[in-house]
Amino acid sequence: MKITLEVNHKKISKEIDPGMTLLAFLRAEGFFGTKFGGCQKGECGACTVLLDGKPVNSCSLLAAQAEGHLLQTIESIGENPDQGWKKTAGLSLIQTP
Amino acid sequence: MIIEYQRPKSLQEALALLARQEPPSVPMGGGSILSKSWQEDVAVIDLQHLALNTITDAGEKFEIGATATLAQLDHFFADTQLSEVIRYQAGKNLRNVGTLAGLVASANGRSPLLTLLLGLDASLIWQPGDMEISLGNWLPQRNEWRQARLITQVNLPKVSYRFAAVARTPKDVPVVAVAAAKWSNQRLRVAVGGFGAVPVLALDGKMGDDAAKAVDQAFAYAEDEWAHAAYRCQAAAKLAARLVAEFAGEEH
Repeated sequence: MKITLEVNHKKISKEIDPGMTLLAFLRAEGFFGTKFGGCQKGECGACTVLLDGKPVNSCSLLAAQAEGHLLQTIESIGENPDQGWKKTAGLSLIQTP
Repeated sequence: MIIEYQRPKSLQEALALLARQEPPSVPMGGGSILSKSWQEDVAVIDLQHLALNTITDAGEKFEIGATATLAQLDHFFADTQLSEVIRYQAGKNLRNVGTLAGLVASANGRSPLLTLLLGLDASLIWQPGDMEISLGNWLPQRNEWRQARLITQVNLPKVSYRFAAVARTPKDVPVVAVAAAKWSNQRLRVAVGGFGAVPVLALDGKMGDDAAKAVDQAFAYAEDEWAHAAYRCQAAAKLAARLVAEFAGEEH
């Protein structure tokens, strides 16, 4: 299936497997700040991204679910802390929920 | 594995997709469970466009849409013990995506929130047909529930309630959880969790019934690698007695 995700205010269209997680999608697109070596079960928070401004575990979402939502990774909010993480609920590189 | 993803725009469309024989189709709330690997080939039906995420104060009960997230519930019930239990159930990231119906459909017996919902005698509204089934009646047959039906709403009665749990650490899932609810007509209901596939209803009676004895019996065979049955029985009995005593204290 083909999806278009808006990541860090940039639209990315890609053909994916329906079961691809958001984490796998982001890693495949080079967003390596979203960490892969965590629990993969939605417990550790290493793969946290912002979905419409709210922190979520990207390992526990399908990439297809995120279509139509704004995604922000650490690459985006790290560049503009005054507009980014300081105004969010507190995304850090590794966040224990 | 997930071989198909659908995002229907109406309830009718969702029900039609769920009614298909092939591929087997499962409803998806937040995806925190369904995004994990599957042994069989399934299609997931994402419910995010169905606007089932409202929470309404309907007089004697709260009507909660199936896809209301735990974060929404936490916000709606702020400064109540229900909010504390929601936060105990899931961390912030999971609360932002996890839905109430998703939890009802997938949480195991160690879930604090599912234990509390059972204690509160929550009921589920199913489509098609607007069929209302109490959580207590549905949970034991959860795995046999047939497809082509969808939870669209969870009803929570407005009653006094208490919750207490014991775990290895304050944030760990409980090995013993007790939820008690009291109605204005003196009905008393006690559910226990911390063990098994689903929480168990220990007592549905009236104030004055022996809640401690009821939970002791409910945990008689609750033995696993986390705790002995004897420990669970003793701890649960003490917690139940304490919660019921708090209700009695409310009246004086």
